[in-house]
Amino acid sequence: MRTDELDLVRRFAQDGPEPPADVMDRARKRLTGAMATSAEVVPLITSSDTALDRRRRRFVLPAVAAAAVLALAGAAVGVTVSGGGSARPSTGVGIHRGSLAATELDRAARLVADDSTPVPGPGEYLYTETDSATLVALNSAGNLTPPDVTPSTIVGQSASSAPNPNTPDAGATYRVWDETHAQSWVDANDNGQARLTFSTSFFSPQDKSVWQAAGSPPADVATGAPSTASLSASGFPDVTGLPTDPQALLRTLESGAYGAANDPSVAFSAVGELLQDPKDTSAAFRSALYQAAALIPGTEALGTIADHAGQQGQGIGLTKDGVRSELVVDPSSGQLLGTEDVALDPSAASDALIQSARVVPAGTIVSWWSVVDSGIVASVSSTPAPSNGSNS
Amino acid sequence: MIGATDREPSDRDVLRASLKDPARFGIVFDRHFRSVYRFLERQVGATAAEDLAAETFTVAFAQRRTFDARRRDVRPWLFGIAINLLRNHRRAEVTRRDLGLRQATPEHRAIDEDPVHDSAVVTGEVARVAKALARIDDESRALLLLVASTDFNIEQAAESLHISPAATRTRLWRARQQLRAELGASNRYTDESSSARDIRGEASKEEQ
Repeated sequence: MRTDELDLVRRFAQDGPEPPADVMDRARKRLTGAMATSAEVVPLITSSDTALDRRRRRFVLPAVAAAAVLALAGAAVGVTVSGGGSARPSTGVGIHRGSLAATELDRAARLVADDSTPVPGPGEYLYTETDSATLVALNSAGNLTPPDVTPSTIVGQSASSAPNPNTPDAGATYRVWDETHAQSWVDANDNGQARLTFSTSFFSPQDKSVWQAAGSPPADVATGAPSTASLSASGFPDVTGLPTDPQALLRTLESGAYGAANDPSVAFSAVGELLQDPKDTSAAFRSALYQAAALIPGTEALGTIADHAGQQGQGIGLTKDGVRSELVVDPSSGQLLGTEDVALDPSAASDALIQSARVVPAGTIVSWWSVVDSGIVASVSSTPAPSNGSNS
Repeated sequence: MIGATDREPSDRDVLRASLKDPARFGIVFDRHFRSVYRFLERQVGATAAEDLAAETFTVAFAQRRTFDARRRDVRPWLFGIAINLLRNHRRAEVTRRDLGLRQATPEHRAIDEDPVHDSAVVTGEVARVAKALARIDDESRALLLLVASTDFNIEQAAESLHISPAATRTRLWRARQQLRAELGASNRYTDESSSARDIRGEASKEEQ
């Protein structure tokens, strides 16, 4: 059997030392002490002393939030087998670089600073419902398409024509959407429940044909069956230690804690992730996130765009490796409505985080995330009344 | 599958029993402390790993009511807590550095006793991997070590990371690309397809 990089990591992992006996003794005593003091649920990752000021929260399922970061942006069009995605312009009258984007972000910062996001009271939950999808390219074995597939042989088409995954050089490559429908109910202590439904659909009928011709290999993606999980405070990122000074916050986002260090696109994505953070994200912190984003070079104001759920908002984008990450911001509240990733230049997407960006027509949205409903509810599993379904 | 023989209670049963008898949680500690410690030690060194591993089990004990009893395996839940603590630890490091308490740059992160940043503690091929791991980002490194330290499949790793299986697969693919690039052009490593097959093969084994 050949050695690959994961085998080497396994060797490195196995080379690690066993914990010495005294280390285990100390850890066991620490646990015993915790057992002695409380048998109750104690959120050990706690809010700071300013908890009262941090009561305003936006609750979004962490799974979806993280997926949105991976997406680095995404977009708003039909996830149907006949769709094949939609296009966004890479340049044009609606797109303004630099200062206008910063102006829009600063405006959002002011709006969220004054926002009054609903807070669950005793016995209440904040319900959030989101949809998201990422386009993946799979080969005939059902694995992610290897990076050495020649993009030009797959992508050599205009934005108006679908690629031909049957191209011999590409192997039997087909594309599917990995979709997630998420509902979460979170109380004021960050405990609650989530219900996730993963599903899969083909990017186009052509992709389904390729899959069938390859023997209908298992795609190892969704089952379609909902799964339920408990949520707890420790499941959420702890943002209480992050600075609210925009400059300091940006330095933290560029430090390597959120991805590659000193990469503006990583910092921009981290802003999107943290804006979806369900735990203790105060209005002041959300405002600081937008202000930090305004300091990131290369952002673009995209004008009014719609997220996948059809919600209109101000689009702010940043392009890296041929893929533009986009934030869609509610113009009236400053809240994040959705994120999108658009493959603007597939030929430049060899290092793109979303590898399917190499195998779609230019302008195709390859990942998206949208809030579709939110509100305060009285119990887990209940949903807001239709009239309260706005997330603004 | 979770380290228990037929005659021993499963981790899930132990957790359930610990709700009434907290001392039972010690069984979970005895079964899994070593693997959690080793996972952490490879990333932050022995001193920080001791603290983070101990805290992982203290948090897990406090949060044991929130474990979904329908899950078969507690390890993704345990490692998920460890990863959250690891992230917070790193953020605290960054904050301390910003405050001038540490003299370090991103290129020379002075994390004490950090194996991936201190090739003096490892040798040969392992040192080569350590150096490559040191040059990729923290999240990618944690995912690679999670998969390498455990026999988790994509779904289990996703549970630990609190992200979807699809996102996990994308992130793992990206991490492996980064590591492969850092390991250099002399690469005698296999292609992505066979690597993925290895993971899936183990995944299938785990799901049995």
